[in-house]
Amino acid sequence: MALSITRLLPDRPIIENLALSFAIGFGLVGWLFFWLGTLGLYSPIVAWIVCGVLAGGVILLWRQPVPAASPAPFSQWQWLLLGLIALALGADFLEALAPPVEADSLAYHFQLPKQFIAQGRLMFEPRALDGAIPLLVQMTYVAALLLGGGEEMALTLWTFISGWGAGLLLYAFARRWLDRSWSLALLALFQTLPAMLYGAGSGQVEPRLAMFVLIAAFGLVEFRHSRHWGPVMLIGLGAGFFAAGKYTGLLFVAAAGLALLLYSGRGWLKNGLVCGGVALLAGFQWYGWNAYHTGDPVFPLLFTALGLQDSALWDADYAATMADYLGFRQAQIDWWQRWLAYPVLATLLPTYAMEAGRVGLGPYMLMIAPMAGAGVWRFRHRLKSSTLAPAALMAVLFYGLWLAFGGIPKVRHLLPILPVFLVCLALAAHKAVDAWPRLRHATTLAMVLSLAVNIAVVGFFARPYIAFALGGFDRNGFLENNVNGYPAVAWLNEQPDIGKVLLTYRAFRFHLRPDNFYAFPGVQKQIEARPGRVEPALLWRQMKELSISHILTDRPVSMSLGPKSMDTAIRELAGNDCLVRLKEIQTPWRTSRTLATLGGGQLWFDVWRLNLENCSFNED
Amino acid sequence: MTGSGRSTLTLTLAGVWVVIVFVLYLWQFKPIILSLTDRLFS
Repeated sequence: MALSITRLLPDRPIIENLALSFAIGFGLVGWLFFWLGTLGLYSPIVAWIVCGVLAGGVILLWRQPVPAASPAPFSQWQWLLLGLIALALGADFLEALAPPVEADSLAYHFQLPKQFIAQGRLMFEPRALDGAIPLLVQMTYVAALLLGGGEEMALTLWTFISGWGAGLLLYAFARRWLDRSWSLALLALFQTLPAMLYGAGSGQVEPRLAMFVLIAAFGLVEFRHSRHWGPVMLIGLGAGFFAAGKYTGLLFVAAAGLALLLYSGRGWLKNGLVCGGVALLAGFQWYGWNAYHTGDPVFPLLFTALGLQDSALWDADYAATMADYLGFRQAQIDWWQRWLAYPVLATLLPTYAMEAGRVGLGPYMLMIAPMAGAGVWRFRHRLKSSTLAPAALMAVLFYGLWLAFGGIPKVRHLLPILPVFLVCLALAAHKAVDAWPRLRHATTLAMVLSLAVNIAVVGFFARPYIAFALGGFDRNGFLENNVNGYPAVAWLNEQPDIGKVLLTYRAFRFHLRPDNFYAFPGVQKQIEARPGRVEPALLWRQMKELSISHILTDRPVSMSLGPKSMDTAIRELAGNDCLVRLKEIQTPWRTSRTLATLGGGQLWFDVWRLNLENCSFNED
Repeated sequence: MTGSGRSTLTLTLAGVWVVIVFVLYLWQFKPIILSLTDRLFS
């Protein structure tokens, strides 16, 4: 429908229409469920009506004329690639049949939608970095949960489907310049990257934000040759949706906007206004939502800059802690590692902060970089007039802005722009092969080796899901093997009369049935958990204010250790009869859920009950 | 150097580059690969 409104539907291949429609529809669902949430309209009937009406747009795709010429038959190489794609699709599907186990998803990607549905509306979650953030992608999880009657499989099936949206769009985008074999190879490569295996089937947002980048990329490719506003609106839509999905989307709005303006010529003002207006409409509701609740549109990052007053949710002391934390994360790699060597280091010698390697982007881009460089050099006189150039510029600008302002240098945060980089590099390498045909062997070798290692990783990744699908584990057994400390959650789920549980381990949130509160230090003010500042009396008062009835914590409390920490405060409260230990649980701890060979150890958990009658801190 | 010699050299350099990057990429997973190999053959 959006394509039809922007008059972009009729003139493109069916695969582009399908992929673009899915991506735009995904964004629209997320957009609509924000507003439905603010109005308190989270109910299955509303979800069915809204999604039914949006899905009705498929009729417009059916009405498209069928191409006169039938497509060329698939070659053996293409069948092989389709086989690999089917293998990856199968592995992802098996993941969707199992309970979710990825820590971030359990902590907030899936937990927040579950929480919002229980409340029947969108609520402001006053936790920095993973609560009060742009949640457009998670809004689509709300829709999935409502449609699926609250079943977790509705979530996992939806992340399975939406995790392939960017791959499909990448294929359609690549087909503009590359033949079917190269495009299929890029699709297979992208979907089997370690970062995609990690993120696409779970609730991570980056694999889905890649759809929004590609929407904007299509717009940038088309706007110079279009006589209407559709492509410029696409750029705004993609950029706005990205901004509504993650704070770094603000950098993407700047990158896409700048690329548009630089290629607009005399029409820059009109293009800028249309694109900016659409981006504002598509993406800035979350910034308004934050500003409405805290005064800070990018809560809590502008607290000091805006000169905001201390409040129940944030104050100058917490702002200083956050600034220290972000400065520390930013400083985890040196300037030369950031500006001169990031792609090489992230591929071959990743530092801990880059979180590459097992969840990285694979070696392909570095492998074909010299061939791509040769292709760029050989055809440098055509670069400016290339239809791909504005999209390439957008990706490069985002990369630069992300390095400068992106904060945490995790390589998987580049996943959204990766499809555009992949197509640019593959096209440039393809051009080099045109000029020097013998380079074909090296470029093919790069693809074959990259796919080989990726498929091997798919095998490891899929192993627990295959075992689950074949009945090797029941649900509890699977969760025990894949979520550290799960037996503690299972025990607590069986207990009667549990009110609200204070947690010190985030991955427990989703699977714990009773209401719960996660008290990570420095990102929320409701429970003081910062080491060096926790007083037993304060902790007691804050727990009572939040109606906490039980605590589930690791021993020692690893997130808040040392003098005046959660660890010492809990021990002191226990010593004053304020806490009664209900259960001690010892569980195995694994370094990696995919690679059991990486080893692990043992974890101890305590379940405490708050003893409201006899606590000596009650007088305070 | 002749055109053919240059072409062969380019091809060789490109191939060597691809293989070097691949080996170095795998090198970071050496502990994992070794422990998997141990398990496979023990």
